[in-house]
Amino acid sequence: MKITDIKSYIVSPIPGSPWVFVEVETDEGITGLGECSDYRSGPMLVAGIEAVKAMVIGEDPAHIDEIWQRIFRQYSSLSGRGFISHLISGIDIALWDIRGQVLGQPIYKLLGGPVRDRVPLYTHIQDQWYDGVTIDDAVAAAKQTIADGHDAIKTDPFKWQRELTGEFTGAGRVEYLSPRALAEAVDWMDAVREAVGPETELMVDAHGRFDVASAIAGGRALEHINLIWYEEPVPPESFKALRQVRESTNIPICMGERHFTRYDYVTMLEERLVDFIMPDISWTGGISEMKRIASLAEPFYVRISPHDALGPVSIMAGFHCSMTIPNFYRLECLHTRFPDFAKIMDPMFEYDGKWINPTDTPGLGVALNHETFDEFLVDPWSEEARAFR
Amino acid sequence: MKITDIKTYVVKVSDKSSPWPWLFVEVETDEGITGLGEATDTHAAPALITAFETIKPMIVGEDPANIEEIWQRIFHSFSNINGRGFTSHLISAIDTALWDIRGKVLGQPIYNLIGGPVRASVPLYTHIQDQGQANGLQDAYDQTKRVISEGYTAIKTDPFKSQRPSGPRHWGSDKVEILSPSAIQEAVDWMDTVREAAGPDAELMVDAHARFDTASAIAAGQALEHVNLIWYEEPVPPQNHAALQQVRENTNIPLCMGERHFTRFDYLPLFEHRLVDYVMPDILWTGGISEMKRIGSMAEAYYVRIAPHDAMGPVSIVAGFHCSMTMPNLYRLECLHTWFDDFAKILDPMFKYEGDSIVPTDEPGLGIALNHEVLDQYIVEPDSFISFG
Repeated sequence: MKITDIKSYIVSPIPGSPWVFVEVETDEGITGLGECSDYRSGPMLVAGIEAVKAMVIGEDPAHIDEIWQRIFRQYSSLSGRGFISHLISGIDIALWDIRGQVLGQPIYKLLGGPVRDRVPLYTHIQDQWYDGVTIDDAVAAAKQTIADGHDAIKTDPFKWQRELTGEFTGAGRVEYLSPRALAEAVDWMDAVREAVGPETELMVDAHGRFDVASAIAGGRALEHINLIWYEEPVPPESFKALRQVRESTNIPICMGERHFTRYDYVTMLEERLVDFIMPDISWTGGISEMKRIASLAEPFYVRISPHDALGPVSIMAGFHCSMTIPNFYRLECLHTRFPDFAKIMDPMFEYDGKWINPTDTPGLGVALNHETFDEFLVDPWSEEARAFR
Repeated sequence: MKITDIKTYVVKVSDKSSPWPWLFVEVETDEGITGLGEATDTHAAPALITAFETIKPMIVGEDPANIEEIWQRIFHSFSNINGRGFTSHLISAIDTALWDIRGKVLGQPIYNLIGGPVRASVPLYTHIQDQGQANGLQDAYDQTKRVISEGYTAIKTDPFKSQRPSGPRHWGSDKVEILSPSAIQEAVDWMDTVREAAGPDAELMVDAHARFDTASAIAAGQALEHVNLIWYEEPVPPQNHAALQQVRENTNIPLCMGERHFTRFDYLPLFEHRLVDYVMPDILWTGGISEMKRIGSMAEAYYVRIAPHDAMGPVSIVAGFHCSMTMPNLYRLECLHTWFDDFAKILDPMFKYEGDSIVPTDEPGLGIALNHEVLDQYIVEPDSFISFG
C-alpha cells in the first residue's frame, strides 16, 4: 500500500473555533483522518501540510515511525517542536487510522491493548478571562455540568489584566495580578466550589499568563480550594520560572500543551517540576508521541491527562491512547461541543456523561461526514480561518 | 507613521550561492519608507509566506517604531505552535525590517542605534566545502589554499561523510547518524589536510551539523583534538541538553551551539549548565536584531563569545553585521564569501567588504536594499526547492 495524497481542510461548525483536518489517502482506497487544529494558525498549518507532502507521498502508510522521524529531523532549523510537530501530529493520527482500518482493529488494540473499560473525561465552565462573564454565569454552568453527568471541571478564574500596558497588547501578554485581581479570582473559585460541592474535582488553568510573583500569589490565594492542579502558572519558555512557582506554592502543578515531543518533557520531569502533564495530541507529535511521553512520565509516577480544546478527531486520538496508558488521569474535553462534533462526523463517538466508551470500529472509529461538512468549510484566506480565541 | 503592508519575495540568483531560494520580507509604511527583512529557511518558504499573511492583521496599522511591542505580540500570541522556531522566523524578518525603517527615519545606520560601534569593522570566518560534498582530500587542500589566498584566516568545514546506510526507504530513521572507526578516520584525514594547507595559525572549526548520537560525537571529538580547533559545533542534535552535557564531559574541544536554538529562552539553559564556549544564533531564526543583541548580552554575562550563524541571504549577513559592530563579546561573523557576487546582483546598495571584514558605512538603516529593477528575473516559485533526505 502507498500513500497517494494528503489533503487538509479548515472546518468551522463553531464560529470562532476553526479546526484543521488532515486526510491521508492511499492507493487501496483507505483514507486516514487526523487533526492539527490550532485556533488562528490554520492557514499556515494547511500550507505546512502541503509543504511536507513530498516527503510522505509514495511511502507505505504502515511506516509510521519512519515518517515521524523524517519530518521531525528534516526541520530542526524551524524547531521540530511546535509548528512542525503540529504537522507530524495530523499525519501520525491519520496513519494510525489507516493501520487500524487495514488490520480491522480499533487503534487502542494496536497500542498495547486496554488497561481500562472506558475513558473518564473532565470538562470546563467559562473562564473569567473573558469580558462580560459573571460569577452567576459560572455557578449556573457548574451546576448544569454536574447535571450533565460530569464530576471534574476546569476554569481560568483570572480576569484579563490590562492596566499596566493598555493598548500595548504585546507587552501585555505577560500579565500582572493585583490584589484586587486575586480577590476576584478567589471569589470565582469559591462560588464554583460552593456550587459543585467538596468532592467535585476542580482545576485552575492560568493559561501561561503570569510573571513569577503573580503566579505565586495566585497559587497561594487559591490553596484553600483543594484543586487537583494549577495549570501553566507561567509562560512555557522558562523552567526556571516554573521552579520558582513550584517552590513557593502548595498546589500540584500541571504543564504541557505548549511543550512538544518527549524532548520538551525530559527536563520538566527530571527536575520534578510537574505532578501532572498534559500534552496535546494534535500538537505534540500525534498518537505515537503521546504514547512515548506517557511512558516517559510513568517512571516518575506522574499522570498524563491529554490536553484537548479542539475538534472531534483530537479527542478520539486522545481516547485511543488513554485506553492504553496506565498512568492516566482523565481526558480533557469541552463537552458542550459534542453536538457540534456530531454535525460533521459519521460515525460519531459514543459518550455517556463523563465517559467515552470503546467500540470495535477499526481505526479511529470516527470519520468526516463529507456530505455535511462542506457547509462548514472555511477558506484558509478568510477572516474566519484566522479566528482569535 | 503606520505600517501598511508586508510583502514577500522568493529569490534565487544562481547555483553559485545558496541552493535554496532566499525569502525576503518588506514592511511598507504610509510615509513611503520600506524596511527589509529576511526569513530564509531551506524548504519552508510556502509555509512562512502563508504565515506572514496570517499575522498581517496583528501588525498593519501599528507604528513601526514600536519594535519591542510587535516582537512581544507575535512571540506570545503563538505559544501554541511554539514562539521559538517557526514563529521566531516570522519575528526575525519583521524585527529586522523595523530596525531598517527606524534607521532610515532617524538617518542612522542601525549599529548607531543599538549601542554604537565597539570595533572599526567586523571580522568574518568562511567555509570550504563539507567532505560529503567535495571531491576528496586534494580538493580540501586546494579549496583551503584558495580561501587563505583570498585573505581569510578562519575557516569552518564538516569533515564527516554521510553515514546513511538505509537508503531512500528509511531515511528518516537514520538522520541521526552513527560514526564507525573508519568514518572517524576519514574525518581526521580531512582535517589534517585542511590544517596542512592552512598552516598552524589559521582558525579552524568543525561543524557536525547536529548529526550524531552521543557516542559517535564523543569518539569524533576525541579523535579531532590534535587539530587544535576553535570549536566543535553541534556535535549532537539540539533537543536534549543531557546529550550535549555527555559530550562536554568526555571531550576537550570548545563547544559551540546555536543555530537550532531560538530566542534567549533557549539559550539560558546552555549558559547556566555551562554547556557552550561559543554561541551562534541565526539572526533570521532567533528573533532578529533585537533578540541577537539580547542573546549577545546574556552571553557576555557568562564571558562567552557570540558568532552569528549565517548561511542564508544578504539580509542575514548585514543584520548580523550591525549587531556585530556593537557586541563586545563577538568572535567573528559567519559568511560564505563565495556567495557575495550573487548578493551584489540583487542589492543596491550592496554592503562593503575588504579582505575578511565587512566595513561600516553611513547608510541609514541596514545600508542595503533590494534592487527591484533587476529582482523580477530572479523571482522563483516558493516551492521551487525540494531536496529532502
